[in-house]
Amino acid sequence: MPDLLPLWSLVVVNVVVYAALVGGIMVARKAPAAKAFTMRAAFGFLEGSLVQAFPDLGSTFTWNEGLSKARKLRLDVNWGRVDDELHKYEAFRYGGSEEPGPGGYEVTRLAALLRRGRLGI
Amino acid sequence: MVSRLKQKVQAEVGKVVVGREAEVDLLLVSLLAKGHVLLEGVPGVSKTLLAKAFARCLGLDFRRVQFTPDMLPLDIVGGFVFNMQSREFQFRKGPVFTDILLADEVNRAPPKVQSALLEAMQERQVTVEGQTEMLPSHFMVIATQNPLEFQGVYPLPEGQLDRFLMKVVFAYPTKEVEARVLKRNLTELDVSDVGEVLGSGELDLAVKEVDKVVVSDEMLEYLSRLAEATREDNRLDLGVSPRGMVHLIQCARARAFLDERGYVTPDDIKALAPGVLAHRLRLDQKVVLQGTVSNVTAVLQEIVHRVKPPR
Repeated sequence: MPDLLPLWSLVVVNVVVYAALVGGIMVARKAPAAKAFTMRAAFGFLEGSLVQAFPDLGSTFTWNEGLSKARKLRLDVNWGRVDDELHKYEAFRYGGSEEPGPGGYEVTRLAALLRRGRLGI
Repeated sequence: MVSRLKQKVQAEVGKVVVGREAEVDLLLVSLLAKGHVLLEGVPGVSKTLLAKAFARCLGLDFRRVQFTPDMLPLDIVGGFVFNMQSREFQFRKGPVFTDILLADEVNRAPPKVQSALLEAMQERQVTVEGQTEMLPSHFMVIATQNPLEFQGVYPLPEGQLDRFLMKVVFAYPTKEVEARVLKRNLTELDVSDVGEVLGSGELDLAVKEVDKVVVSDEMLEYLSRLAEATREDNRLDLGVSPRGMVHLIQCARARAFLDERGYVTPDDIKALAPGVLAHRLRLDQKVVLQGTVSNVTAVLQEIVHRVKPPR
């Protein structure tokens, strides 16, 4: 039995290492975006992701045209929050409202998921 | 603030007209933008019923005039008649003195009558024998024309078409919608089923709210680029006039108001451009003869797709 001790400790080390790896991947998938993002940066990120994910969109799409394509992919995104962030951004961009503070987390998450889909991760 | 106006109007009009939500939206946009609409479609696609139901649900007066080749301007605007009792001439108002005037088959009337109507549309007043009479504040003409008639008609020239804020094409309904239309018609349709959705003064309030909708400088610059693109496209003989662009902005503001936004977005422009601009454009005849392009709306859509909106 004492002879098997190094083998068991190796198994335990393996389990710990693989569990940490799997856990890390899951956390990265859940929250792929940087936390401190401005609305403007979030939508800049989304623009690039939409262009990459849907080459047929061209360069003259509107936010709603781009997002309606993304919606069809059934990604794990809270669309209510995406719409809310879009309204805030549009009110700033087209309506002359003050620039919203840090935010755009869900849009950033969507953008990251679109890029990941493109890379097949 | 008049809330959910679009949904309320759609629900009421939908009681008698099935599957025409998009057309109802465009009529509402035109009314709020203080413009007039040209409806184009073959007979029997609910143009008249829709106009009646639309006027009723907004609590507006409605009159219908069937245009014919033997009409005179006074049949529309009115004229002076001799009153035997008072022994003087009195102005008798024509059917144009209403809120919503349905000018059925407007292209059947001779140019003089069309001009009289279009002048009233533009000026929102009528002058006969030097006497000027103002039209109601929500005066709106919904004119119809059949695209398939070529004989005995007087097509509206480009200059007069430009006065219409919007041209709405009534296509045949889809198979699914047609089945719903047929089912709806199994019982008699009665426009009196349509209820009023606005209280007294609420329409005035809504029109004032539309004027408060913001159009950013970047959006204006986008619109200018769009107008320029129509004028530079060599497939078009006639691009969009400045009046056309002013109409497009006003419609976009009305659409934004109906969506309960205080600002215009590029989506408003893209959604409304075909209805507001296509009837003001003219295809180059060489291009038509070559057969490469047959539809001005397709050219416009392509131009809209080419011009980058602000994001």
